[in-house]
Amino acid sequence: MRQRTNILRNRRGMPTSARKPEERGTELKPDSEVSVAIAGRWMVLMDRRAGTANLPFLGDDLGQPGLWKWRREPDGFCRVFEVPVWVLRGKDADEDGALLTRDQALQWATATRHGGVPPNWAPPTSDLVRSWVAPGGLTLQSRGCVCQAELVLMPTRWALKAPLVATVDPQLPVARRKVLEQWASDAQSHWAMLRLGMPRATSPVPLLAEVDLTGAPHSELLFSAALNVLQHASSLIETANVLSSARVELACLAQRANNRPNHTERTAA
Amino acid sequence: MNLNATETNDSVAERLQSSLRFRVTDVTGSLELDAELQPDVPAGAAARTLAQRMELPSDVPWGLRNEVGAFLDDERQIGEQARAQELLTLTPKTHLG
Repeated sequence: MRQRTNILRNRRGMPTSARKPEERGTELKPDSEVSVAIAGRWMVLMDRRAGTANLPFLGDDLGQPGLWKWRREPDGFCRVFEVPVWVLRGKDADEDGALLTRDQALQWATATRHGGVPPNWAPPTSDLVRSWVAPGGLTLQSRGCVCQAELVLMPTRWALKAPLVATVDPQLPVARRKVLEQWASDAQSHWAMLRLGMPRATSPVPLLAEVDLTGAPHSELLFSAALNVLQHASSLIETANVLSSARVELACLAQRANNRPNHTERTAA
Repeated sequence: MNLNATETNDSVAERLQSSLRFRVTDVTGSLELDAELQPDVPAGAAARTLAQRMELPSDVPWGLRNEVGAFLDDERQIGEQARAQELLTLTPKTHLG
């Protein structure tokens, strides 16, 4: 069956990470704690026991192993782990290890669900990962914005991260900061594999984007998908910088803060 | 390639605090802006970005010249080739012959 023509593809011809908000899949393996489902181009694990009605502090997930993150749902927020289906293989042998088995992906998710790492896991070598990155592949540019992503390779961590905003304005009003956090959670919910957040214990405070592959099998396709996600996050840089600068006044937000009604607002019933 | 093998929250903050400010102008001198960039951004990417900010044509290959007129190497980090507050000129890379 031919795929829809509105699927975005990267230079390798791989579907990109944008996910239609309405995608929902069929549950494959019911479990008391974690459900697994295929939703479009993603295998989605959902932690049934972790959920919250209110927006969590996204910065607490930064640096955590694996892809677990908060995703906005109609009735609150849930924990999800999203793996692209095009990096998964069936039962056929895959000698070069570019693809993951479904079991490998599930083991990775299970091990990292509470901040752990699979036993005996080690990151790939830097030479190997360097060979997977095209020249300029870590530069995120979108129109008049640019930032340089960083590849983190440590004995206990394998990740890609980039500063969408170098410094969130310390003079940013509380209400504006909440808007920034809500926008970041929306972006995180929209882009699979991607986490956004402002770390707690740093000064100045940046807005970081990251994809964490700690605990993952050494798959070039998985790494390429992660890098592709981060490259798409470059489209967020401009908005992030506008929202995080107190020098930029946003009239609609100022009106809300002052509780001034305008003709587009509807009064609550 | 920026490869971090000793990542901490402090190193993230330090890396971001070290953003460099440059003054950038076009060849005519009529457009000028102050730009703050991460020092590890390749000079070529910096040039494309600054051209976009100045709303210069995007179908032209742009390069950055330093104060002595030398082109910055597109592949190398801008922080290795230019110092803070240096005046850089955004120049179309047109070659004859």
